[in-house]
Amino acid sequence: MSITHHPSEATLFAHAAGGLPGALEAVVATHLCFCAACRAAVRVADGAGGALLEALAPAPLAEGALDAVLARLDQAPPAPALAPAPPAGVPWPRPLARLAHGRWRWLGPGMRAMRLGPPAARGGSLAMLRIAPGRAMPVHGHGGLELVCVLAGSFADESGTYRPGDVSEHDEEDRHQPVAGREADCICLSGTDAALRLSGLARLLQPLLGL
Amino acid sequence: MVEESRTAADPGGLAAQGGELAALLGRVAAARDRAAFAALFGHFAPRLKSYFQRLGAAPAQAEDLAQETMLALWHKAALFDPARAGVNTWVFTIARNLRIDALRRDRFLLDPDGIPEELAAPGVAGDERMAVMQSEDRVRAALASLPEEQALVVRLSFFKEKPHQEIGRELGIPLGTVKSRLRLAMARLRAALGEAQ
Ligand SMILES: [Zn+2]
Repeated sequence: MSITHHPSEATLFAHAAGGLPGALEAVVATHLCFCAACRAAVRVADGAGGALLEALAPAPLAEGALDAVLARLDQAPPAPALAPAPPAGVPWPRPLARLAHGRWRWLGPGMRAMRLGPPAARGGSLAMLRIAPGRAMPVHGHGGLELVCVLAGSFADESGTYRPGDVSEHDEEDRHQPVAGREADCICLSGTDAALRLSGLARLLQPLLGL
Repeated sequence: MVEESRTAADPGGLAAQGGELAALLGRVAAARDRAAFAALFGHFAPRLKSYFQRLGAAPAQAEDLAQETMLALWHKAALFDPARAGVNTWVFTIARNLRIDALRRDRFLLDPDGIPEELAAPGVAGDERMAVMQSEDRVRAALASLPEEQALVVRLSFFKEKPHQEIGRELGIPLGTVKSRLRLAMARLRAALGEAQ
């Protein structure tokens, strides 16, 4: 599978730094499952993080810190949280395994959406979208950064055709009109950091997301 | 802004010896060696505390997170693969993921281990390890040689929990300029590592 649309380097750096809001991080992590090229870029950015950590001036620790940690080495590590079952019939990338999800909700003709993650979260809004073949989504602009990763089917807009694994990245300046490919439903994961500035897709999703 | 890093907390200057750090970590993994762990603690814990404080944690919280990171290092030591990442980079990613889980208020529970890692070719050993250690040195050198305007946006990306828009606002440059500087920085870092574009 060849990936032709990637997140920007700025977004990959923000991912490596741990600075992306959760909804955007979910989309980037999903893309990384598809894209070896971006995994390589992230390794480079992680390396920069390692070098910056090493160069930091050490901050003195409290007295007895080492002993406190040594005393805890034999305790078992905390068990990972149990993952909810993913919905049937939807591609469910592994980084999303621990996320809570809602049910498919009707959003408009030929459009359904499923909320992922906590409701009305500070980390933006994240949703799985399912768009019928050939269906145009309304033209929308953005209140912030929006990342969409295709999981099945395809969509196209002014900037090209997006197939599984491809990511479209739009910031507040852009307006675009995606149209789902005719071959099948387009299923994509859409994240935006604009939960508090309702506009564009977030406004469409407003009733669904309970914002 | 490479800060002074050889201090009393790190008398041996382990930072300069990626091989030494990897050997200590190897002893932690293979033999549950507490003395090796203590040496790694002496090197990393003060830097980790500094890292968490840089990102807005209060001193007590930064101290807790540094300790948690070192505990995670102890538990995950067997997962460290020197053919994949240098020790500094590996510890950085543990700290970053812990910080996301602990400090993030948005409650998006993502699973960073869900992203596949490249498998090292079977049988790769010494040479590959050397290459990775050298690559950590090369990243450090490449970072130091970035034009200051690029190095600055890279540092701000890692040490300010701020969207790039706000970094641009703070520096008085448009978002597009922040993004293009990061694009150039990534290209230089990749070139320094001999990675194809
Ligand atoms: Zn990619």
